[in-house]
Amino acid sequence: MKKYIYLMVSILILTISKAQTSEVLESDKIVGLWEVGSGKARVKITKYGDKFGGKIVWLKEPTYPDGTKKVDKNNPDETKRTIPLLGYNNLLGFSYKGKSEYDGGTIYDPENGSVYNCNISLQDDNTIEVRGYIGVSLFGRTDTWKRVTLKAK
Amino acid sequence: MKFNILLITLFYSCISVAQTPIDTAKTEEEDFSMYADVEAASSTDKSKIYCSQKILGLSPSKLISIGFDFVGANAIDTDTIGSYFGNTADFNNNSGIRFAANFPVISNNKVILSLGVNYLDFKYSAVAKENNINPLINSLNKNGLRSYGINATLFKPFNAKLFGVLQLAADHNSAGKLDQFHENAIKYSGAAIFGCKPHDRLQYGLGVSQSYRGGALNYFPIILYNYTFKNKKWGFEMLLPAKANVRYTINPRNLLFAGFELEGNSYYMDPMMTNYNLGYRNIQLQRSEIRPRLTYEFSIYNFIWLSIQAGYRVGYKFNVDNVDYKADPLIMNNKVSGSYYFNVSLNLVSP
Repeated sequence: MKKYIYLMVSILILTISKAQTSEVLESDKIVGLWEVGSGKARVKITKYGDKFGGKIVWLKEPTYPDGTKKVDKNNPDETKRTIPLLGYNNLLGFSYKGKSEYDGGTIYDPENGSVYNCNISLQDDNTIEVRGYIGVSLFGRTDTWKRVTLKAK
Repeated sequence: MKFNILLITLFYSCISVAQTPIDTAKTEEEDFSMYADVEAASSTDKSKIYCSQKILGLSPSKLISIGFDFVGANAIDTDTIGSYFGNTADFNNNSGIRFAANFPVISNNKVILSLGVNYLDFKYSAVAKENNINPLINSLNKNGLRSYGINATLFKPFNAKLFGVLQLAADHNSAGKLDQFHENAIKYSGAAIFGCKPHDRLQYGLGVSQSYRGGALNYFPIILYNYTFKNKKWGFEMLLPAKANVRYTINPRNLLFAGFELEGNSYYMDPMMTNYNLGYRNIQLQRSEIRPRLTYEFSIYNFIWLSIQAGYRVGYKFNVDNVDYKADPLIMNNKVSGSYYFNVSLNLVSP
């Protein structure tokens, strides 16, 4: 009888463990390198704690005409206007809500220094739809990002 | 043995969680050059790049706008109509409320569809109300002009450079009250543009339009031209012949404009026909004016912007026509004097 109980507990632990792992894996599908719809920037999405965020890791035009590196010069906070755009954390605070949806986050647009509410929807393993909006989702715009991978050396 | 099973199980569970590929945010410096050489994750992925609706530096489009329009003292020199002689009527001012809302119901890389509503209520305040027996002046003085309608705008990018814009609108324009609906007051307008966006600071296009901006129904070619100079301080925003602006960007949240707008419409003048025995069934006021102006738009809180505009209203057309008999001459050929004007509006702007 005791042997049977041990076996059942083991199966239960395994089942719970696998379920948790699969949920974690499901949510982590967003992690990786993504190219924005215009093809002018690439964003690396990572996980920190139980949240997801992203930073700009590549810009098609990383410098100004005078050769200096692009910075966050449109930020309303003057103290942040010298921060380089390359490496800038432009996606913050996303939580996985199940069914390939991530919400509760924000996206920053360096072009005008505005922060928008943002939802991300994983369409397939290599496509996400990033919707920035004001207040309610109706007032927004969706951009489709494609996954890219580093070329093997 | 039993404990061993349990321990192995726990060990396996720990390993399986530990192997979960979580890439936590790193704080150390990263070599960004490695992200230049990439390939699409999916070999079957033939994703296409589409041009966006905007160019760099373009003023933000207004999702919701509520404004007040004020035209200073002016005069209308009216023509004779029926047995009523023409005269000159002085107005203290014309003022009105403008409301517009646009909802982007579909907005993604491949298509943007916005649906909108608009409302304009314009009052005319004559100086000597009791001395004016002219039907047009009396109608304006008592009823003003009112316009409300719906519109739809479709932006369709074809590839990274080419795009099309289709705009359709239906408006109810009359001198009647808000609840007085009449089919003769309904006006349909539209525009179609085929355009090109060679780079992020320029877009241009050519199209055709059906519009009442000139007062009566007109068909004319339209030119879209939006350009931002390399320094991103100066730019043009034009949709000719309807409007054109030179833009100066103090910063992305403070913009100055100098330009003009051709504004107009055709209004069903039911009070003139109801209250006077003129013998017409469908007379319309053809109003058109050119407004050279200066505009200052700025963010007062995040996406809430204030727009302050001042300029001069040039009365281009203020005629009355019997549109059932288009070949006939105008019923009233009136003249409107120019006047200063200002407009202030509160706006929720687009991302």
